[in-house]
Amino acid sequence: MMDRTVDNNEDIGFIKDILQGDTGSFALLVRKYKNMIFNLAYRMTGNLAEAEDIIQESFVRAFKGLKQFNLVQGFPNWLYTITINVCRTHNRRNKFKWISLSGPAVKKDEHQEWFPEIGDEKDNPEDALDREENEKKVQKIIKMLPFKYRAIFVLRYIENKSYQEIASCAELPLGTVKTYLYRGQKILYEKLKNG
Amino acid sequence: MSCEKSRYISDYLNKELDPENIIIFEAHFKKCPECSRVIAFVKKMGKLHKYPASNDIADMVMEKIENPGIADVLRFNFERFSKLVIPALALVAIFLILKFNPANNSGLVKISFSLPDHGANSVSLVGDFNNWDASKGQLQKRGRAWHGSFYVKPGRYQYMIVVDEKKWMPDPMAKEYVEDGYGSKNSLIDTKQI
Repeated sequence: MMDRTVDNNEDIGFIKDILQGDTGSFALLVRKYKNMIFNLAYRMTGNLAEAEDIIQESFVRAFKGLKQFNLVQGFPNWLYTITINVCRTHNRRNKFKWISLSGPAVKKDEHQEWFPEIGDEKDNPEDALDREENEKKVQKIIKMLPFKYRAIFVLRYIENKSYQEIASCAELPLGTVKTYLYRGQKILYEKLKNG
Repeated sequence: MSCEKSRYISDYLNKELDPENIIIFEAHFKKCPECSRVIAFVKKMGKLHKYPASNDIADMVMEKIENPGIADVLRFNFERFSKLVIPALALVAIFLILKFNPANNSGLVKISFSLPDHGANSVSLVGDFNNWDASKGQLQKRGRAWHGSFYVKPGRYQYMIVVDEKKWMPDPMAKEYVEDGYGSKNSLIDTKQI
């Protein structure tokens, strides 16, 4: 794994090239970070197609706003910030699409259609099925968390980010991040108890 | 039921607790139904599969950047448009509220007074608009001046200033004065001349 400073210097190199007119270098940043923000978008929405739309939109926004990129925040965290904002926009739009929200969080065939490699795992088929069922349950409960807590949970418990990094990505004060985690856990417990 | 110690779950799981606290919290988390359930869940979150994004994403993004479709152009413009229009609408709304505030709707006009302070303890304004009642015309001291506003029907009103509840005097800054019939002068304000 690359050292973070080296990684950051590489990003800055790409960004300089892009700002000097080499638009094609942006594709390198997309390839480097697509999986990172896809995972966040997928866990935030529970929908693979929507997550793809979100990351495309996030990268396009990042490209358009590249001049405003904050060197101190670093490109990955800045990208997280943009992605959270795009997810928020989608979340607002989805409030009006109540029919789709009432359906299952992730359809089984959707996984297989998008990621045929899952079937090639070493697990025996029963384990794979259990894991998939388990994933569905976990994802469903993540989706039950209010939007503002969801991003914090994903960054903390899936991406293992520090409070400081989460505060930077979610544009929140450090204390608020901790409060959201605490309150989110209370909601989580209620859902787990009743579910 | 709500467990206060659950706020340390995140620190515990990310190994950010002080060594002496680890033992204390670990013992608690094991027996607390709330904490143990939350911990079990967030541990499951950490084990979720990380799905890769499609390999075509880079091409799709570059296509959008190099040839923005009409939908992107419209969405972009709409966002910029909404950023400009929402504050503009807010300003218009504030203007309308000020212009047609309840006082104006009822046909009243606001008259405001500011008088320089010369060490008074209280200053009131009495006149035709408050039936010469000093208790209804008290001004407030802010800085070195006394201020007050009254809502009145359009017209001409005679008034006087009452300092420290006993000394009556005309307003030195009034535009007009009229004889009060007792050898003194009342100040006069005309709402058309405000």
